[in-house]
Amino acid sequence: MTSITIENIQKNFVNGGKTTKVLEGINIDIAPGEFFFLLGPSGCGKTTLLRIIAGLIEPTGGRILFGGKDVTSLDARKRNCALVFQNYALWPHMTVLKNTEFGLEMKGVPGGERRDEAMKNLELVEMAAFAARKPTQLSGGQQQRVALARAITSRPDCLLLDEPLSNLDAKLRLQMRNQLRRLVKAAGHTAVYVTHDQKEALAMADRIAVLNNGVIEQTGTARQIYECPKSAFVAAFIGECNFIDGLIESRGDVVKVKTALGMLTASIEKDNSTSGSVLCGLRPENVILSAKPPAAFDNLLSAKVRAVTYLGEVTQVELDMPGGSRWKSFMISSGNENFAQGQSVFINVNRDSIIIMDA
Amino acid sequence: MGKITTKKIFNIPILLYALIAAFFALFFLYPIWLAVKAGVVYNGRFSFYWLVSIAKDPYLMGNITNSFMLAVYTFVGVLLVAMPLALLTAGRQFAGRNILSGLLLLPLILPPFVGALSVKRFFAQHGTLNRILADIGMIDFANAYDWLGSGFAAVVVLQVLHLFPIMYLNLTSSLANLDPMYYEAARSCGASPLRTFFRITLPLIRPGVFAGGSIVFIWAFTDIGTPLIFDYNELAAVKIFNELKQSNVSGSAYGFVIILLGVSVLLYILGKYVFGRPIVVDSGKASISSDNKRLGPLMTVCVWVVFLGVILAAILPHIGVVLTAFSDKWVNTIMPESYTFKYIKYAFTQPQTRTSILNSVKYAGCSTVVDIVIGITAAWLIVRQRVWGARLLDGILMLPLAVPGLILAAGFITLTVIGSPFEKIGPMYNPFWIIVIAYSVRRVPFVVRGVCSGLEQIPESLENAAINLGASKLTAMLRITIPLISANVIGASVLTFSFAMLEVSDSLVLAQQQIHYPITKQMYAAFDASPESINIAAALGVVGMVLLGGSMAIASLLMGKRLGAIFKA
Repeated sequence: MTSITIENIQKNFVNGGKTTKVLEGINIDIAPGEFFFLLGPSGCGKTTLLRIIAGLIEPTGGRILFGGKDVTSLDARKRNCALVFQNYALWPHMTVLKNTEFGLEMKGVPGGERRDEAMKNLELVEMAAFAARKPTQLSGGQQQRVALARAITSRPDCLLLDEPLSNLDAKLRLQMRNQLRRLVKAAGHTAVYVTHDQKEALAMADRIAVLNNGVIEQTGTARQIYECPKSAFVAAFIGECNFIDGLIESRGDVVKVKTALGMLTASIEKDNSTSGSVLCGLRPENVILSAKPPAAFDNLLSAKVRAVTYLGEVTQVELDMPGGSRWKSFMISSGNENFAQGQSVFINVNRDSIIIMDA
Repeated sequence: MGKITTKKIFNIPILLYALIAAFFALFFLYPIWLAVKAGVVYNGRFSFYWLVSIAKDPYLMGNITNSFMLAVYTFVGVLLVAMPLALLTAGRQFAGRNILSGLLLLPLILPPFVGALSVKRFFAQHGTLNRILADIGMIDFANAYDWLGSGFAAVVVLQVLHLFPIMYLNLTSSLANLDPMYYEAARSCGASPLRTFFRITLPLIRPGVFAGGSIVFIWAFTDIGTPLIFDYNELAAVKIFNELKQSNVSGSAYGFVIILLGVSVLLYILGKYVFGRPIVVDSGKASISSDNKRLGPLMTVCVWVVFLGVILAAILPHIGVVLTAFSDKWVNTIMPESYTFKYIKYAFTQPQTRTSILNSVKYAGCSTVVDIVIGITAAWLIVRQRVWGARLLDGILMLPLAVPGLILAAGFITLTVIGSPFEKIGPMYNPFWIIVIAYSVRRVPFVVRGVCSGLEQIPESLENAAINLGASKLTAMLRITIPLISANVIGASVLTFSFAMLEVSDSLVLAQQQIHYPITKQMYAAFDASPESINIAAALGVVGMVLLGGSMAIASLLMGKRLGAIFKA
C-alpha cells in the first residue's frame, strides 16, 4: 500500500503545430489503501491522468509521487503499479495462469511460488477453474476478473483501473461492481479507478475527483459530491438537478436568495458560492409535491404538471415553473402519486435541499 | 425440382463459372496432375520407384537437402533483415514514410536473376574485385580466390535482398494490427523491452512471420534463375530444369516435382491456415494508443539512413547491371572507365535480342488480357453473384500461390509432349499460347484479389439501380461496375504485366527455341564465355527493368497504398 500524490500535473498534446491542453493544474492526494475514483465525461482527461500515473505517458509539467518518492521520470515497468485495462489486455497466446503469474515472473519469483500465488488470486476472483484456458475461451466478465487477478498477483504498490467494467453489459456491470470493490479492498491496495459512469463512482468509491476539460471540478466522498456539488457541472453530471439563477440577498445563519420564483431560504452549509450572483440547484427527489399547500415549509413554490412518467421504482413528474423554466420531481412509486397533466401543484423545498453555487 | 428450361441451361453466371473452372482444370490442375502422375509411374504401372530411387541416391538427396538449406538460410536472412526494419517503423509516423514504403518495393520487383549477372562479374574468381586486388599487389590474379565459392552463399544473399520486402510487409501489417495495450500491459508488469519482444510481440506476430515466411521459403526452395547464373546446380529445382530441357524427360525429374510440390503445398497450408491464422481476442472497444508516435528529426534521419542503406545494398547488383549495360571499358576499376550506348542499341537492333523483347511484350500483354477477363469474371461471380461454390472457386484461383512456377512449367511440358493433343502449342512447335497461359495462370490470384477488393467497395445498389431501369446484369456490370473499379483493374493488370515481363521459371523451361525466347531466356542464353556477352545480357536486363519500372510506376499511381497489399499472403 502506498500513498499517491499528484502534484500540479499538466499535459499538453501537440498535433500538427496545434497545442491542446488536456490536463491543467491537477492536484490530488490519495491515502494508502484508498479506493479513489476519477470521474468525468469522455475527453475530460481522466484516462490520460491515469496513464501518467502509470508512467505510460509523460506529463508536460508537475510530479507524481508514490509514498513521497518522486516517480515522474521513472519508466512504467519500474513503478510497480499494475494497470487493469479497459480491454483487459490479456495475452491471447498465454493461458489464464500464465497471464496471471506474468508480473511475478518479471520479478524473478520462482515458478512454484508464483504459481501458488497466481492460483490463490484466481480463486479470489473465482477463476481458478479456468487456469488452463486461453483468454479467447472466456467471456467479457471472466476476462475482466482474470485481468484483475493478474494485476493483484504482480504485488503492486497500487492498482490502476481504466474503466474495467465498460465493456460489460448493464446487468453484468451491476453484478461486478460490488464484487470488484470487495476484491480490491480485500487485496488492500491503493487503487485509482477511472470511469464516466457516475453511479459506478457513487457506489464504489471512497473518494471521487470529478474532472471536466482537464481540470478538477471537485474532490470529495460520494455523499459530498452528490449532496453538496460546488459547480453547476458537478451538480448536473452527478445525478439530475433543477437550476434557478439568483442573487444573494443576505448571508447569516441562513442564506436568502432572490430568484424568479421568489425569495428562497437556504442552509448556510450548502452555500458554495463566492459571489453575489449564484445558481441554485435542487435535486428532483427534494422537489416534494402536494396538491394543497403543506402546513409547514421553508420554501413554498408553485408549478403546473407538464407530464407524469412511471419509471418503475420512481415516478417522474415534469413541471412547468413560473417564468418558463422546467423542473423535474422524482418520487418513490407508491401508487399515491395522483397528479394529472395540467394540474397546479405546490412544491415544498427544504432549506437543506437547496445547493448554492457560483453562476 | 421443376423443368430444366432453356433459361436455366443458359444461366450466365453458371456458364461463366463452368468456363473458368474448365480453364483452370485444364491448364492448372491437369498439368500438375500429369507431372505428379509421371513421377509415380514406372514401366507403365503405378509405383513409388522414382521417389524411392531419389531417397536412396545420396547425390539426389543432397540436391534436396541443399534446396532445403538454401530456403532455410534465406528465410533466416530475410527475418534478420526485415524484423529490425519493421520494429523500427511499426506504428510510427515520420517524414517521408510513404516514399520509403514505395522504395522498399524496388528490391521486390527487380529480379535477382538480373542482379546476379553483375554480382558474378564482380565477385567471380577472375572478376573485377580480384583484378583490382591484383593490380594493387594484394593477390596473385592467376590463383585468385573465388569469392562466390560454390555459389550457395551468393544465391542466399541475392534471394534475401530480393525477398525481404515481403517479410517486411507482412511483419508491419501484423505489428500494426497489434493493440498497443499488449505492450503496455507487459510494461506495467515490469517486463523489459527485450522480454516484451520475445514473450509478447513475437508470439503475437507469428501469423505475419509464417505468412511471409511461407512465401519466402517456397520461392527460395524452387528458384532456378539465380542458381543458374551462379552455376550452382546442386539443387532439386535446377535438376528438374536440366531434365526438362531433354526431349525425353526422366521419371526422376517428376519425382523431384512431387517432392517440391508437396513441400510447397504443405508450407502454404501451414503458413495460411495453421501458423499464419490471426490470433484474435474479442475485447470490445479499441484501446487508445500510447503517447508520442511521431519520430523526432534525429530518429527520422536514422530510420532513413538504415532503410536507404538496406535498399541500396539490395539494388546494388541491379545498379551494377545498369552500369554494365552502358559500360564500354570496365576491367579493373570500381566504376566503368568509359560508357557507350552500343549494347542498348544492340538489344533493339540485333534480331535475336529484338525478338526477345517483342516476345516478352507479347507474352506479357496477352497474358494480362487473359488475366483481366478471368479476374473480372471470377470476382463478379464470387462477390456479386455468390454462385454455389463461389468460395471453392475463390480457393482454386488462389492455388497458384502455393505452386511454384517450375512445377507448373514441368506440368506444361508433360501436357504438350509429342503425341499429346496439345503438342502443337508445346515448346517443340510454337509455345506462344502455352507461355501466355502459364503467365496468366500464375498471376490470376493477384488480379482476382485486386478486383475482388475493388468490387467489395462498390455498393450493389448501384448495379441494382441500373437493372431496375431496364439494364441486363451484364450491361450493368459493363456500364456501371467496371468503370467504377477501373483503377483496381488497371492497377492489378499493370502489376501482372510487370511481373510477366521479367518472369523466369516458365520462360526458361517453356521457351526452348531461340525464336520464342523472352528477355529472361535470351539473357540466360546470351551469357556465355564471350567478352561482350555480359554486356549484352545486361542491356537486355536494363530494357526489361525499364519496362517493368514504368509499368510499376503506373500501377503505383493507380493503386497507391493498396499496391503493397498484393504482396501480403
